Amino acid sequence: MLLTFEFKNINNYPVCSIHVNDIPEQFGSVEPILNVAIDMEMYTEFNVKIYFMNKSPDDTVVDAAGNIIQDKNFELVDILMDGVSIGDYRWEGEYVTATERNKSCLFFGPPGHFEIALKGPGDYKHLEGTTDFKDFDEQYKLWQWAKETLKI
Amino acid sequence: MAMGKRNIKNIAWLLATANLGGEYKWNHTPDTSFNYVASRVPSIFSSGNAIIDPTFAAWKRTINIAEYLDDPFVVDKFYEAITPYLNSSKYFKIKDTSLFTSMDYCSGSQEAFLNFMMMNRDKRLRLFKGDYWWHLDICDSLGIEWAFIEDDELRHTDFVIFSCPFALTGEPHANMLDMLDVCEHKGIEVLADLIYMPNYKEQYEMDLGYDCINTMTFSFSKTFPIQTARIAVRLQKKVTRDPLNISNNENIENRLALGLGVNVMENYPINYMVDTYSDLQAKWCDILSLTPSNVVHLAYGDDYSDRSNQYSKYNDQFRRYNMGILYQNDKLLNEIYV
Repeated sequence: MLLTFEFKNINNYPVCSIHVNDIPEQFGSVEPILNVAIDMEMYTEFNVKIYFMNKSPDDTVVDAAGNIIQDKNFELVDILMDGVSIGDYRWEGEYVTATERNKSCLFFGPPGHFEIALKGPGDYKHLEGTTDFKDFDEQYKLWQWAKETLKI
Repeated sequence: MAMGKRNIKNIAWLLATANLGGEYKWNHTPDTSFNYVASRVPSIFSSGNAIIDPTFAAWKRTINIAEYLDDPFVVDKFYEAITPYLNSSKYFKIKDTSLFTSMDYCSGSQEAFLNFMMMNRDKRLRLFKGDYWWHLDICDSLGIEWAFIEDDELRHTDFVIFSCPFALTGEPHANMLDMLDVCEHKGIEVLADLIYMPNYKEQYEMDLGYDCINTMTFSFSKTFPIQTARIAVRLQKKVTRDPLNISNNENIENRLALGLGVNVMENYPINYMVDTYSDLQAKWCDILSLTPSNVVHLAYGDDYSDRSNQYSKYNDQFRRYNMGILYQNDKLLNEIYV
């Protein structure tokens, strides 16, 4: 399965590490799109954590009035599983710092990590409200069968 | 052995996942991710596009069409050849083609449709449900009123476009003759679109002698895989001095297209696809429990996809199957699936 992470508002060269079930799968500069390929069966629960690796106090510069005039940060836009967006389910994630857990926070500002519990392809919760995948289960199995048949 | 709907879905997913290439960019699958493949599945059997016959596909690449750029007479050659070519069909006969003495090259039948709409823009377009969805999108974009023939009586302030064989079914529309009688009586102008006639495989005679039919259109796009060359012609009983006609009078028609069209007519009989693919149509319709149309590359069955209409909200053709992709990949499918 391919996990795709979409980011925006990437400021001042942040670095992240993406873990799946606490195993580091990807490390490097935050880019608008990062892909992580993992083996995951349908309906298997797993967690994803995105660690903000290189934030330090010196990255945040404030003016005399205390306004932030320079910082290092980025924002998570979406997570896709084999091209299928998890949609609003992304708001189930939390941003965890040393002192607090911020629910529904996609902003990587202070040092910490974002975490979210996901389920392998086929979890309808991710697709509720969409009209395109009401037969997701069947379609996903057809896609897997096609790839196996074509040896792709 | 009939396999039915379940296997229509399997084959749709198989063909959507395979990188089949071809002349449309959406047939080149840049990735095989689930979402991208899923977005292609509903279009696998859609459209009325021509069968990509490998012999024809190889032949067309040998034609040096550039030489026609400087040939001012290729236009006349095309015009002289087109009516006999249409009349050479062994199956679908067109009565009274001799009445259509005025010809205009058009860049696809769409250009003829567009000019017909522009010249009738103050009237209301009427067409049968299931005919070419493009007409409705264009009317919406131009602010031209329209209504399905089934939904209101025909009035003298209407104009009509119809296809025969009918776009959705591949058969003459059941109400076509009644419609023509009313149009004849009320003086409603009618355009007849004959784009599917070369692939029609049963005996039929289309009467174009009605006074209300001043215009018929024909395109090579649904017969031979040259739709990107835009080879089409508008034939009229009486000249319409519209933008198309005015432009063509400058002798600057697309000679590349016309030169290719002349070559096609000289080398490929109009019923080539019928004669080549009728057996494969029967085979695949049997395997998939589909009903073959009398247009050799079309068939009918249940919807195999629950996706909303592609390209246009008016494109509701999910019960019609374009079988060309099965014929084109018959060998592959035989090896790995059948």
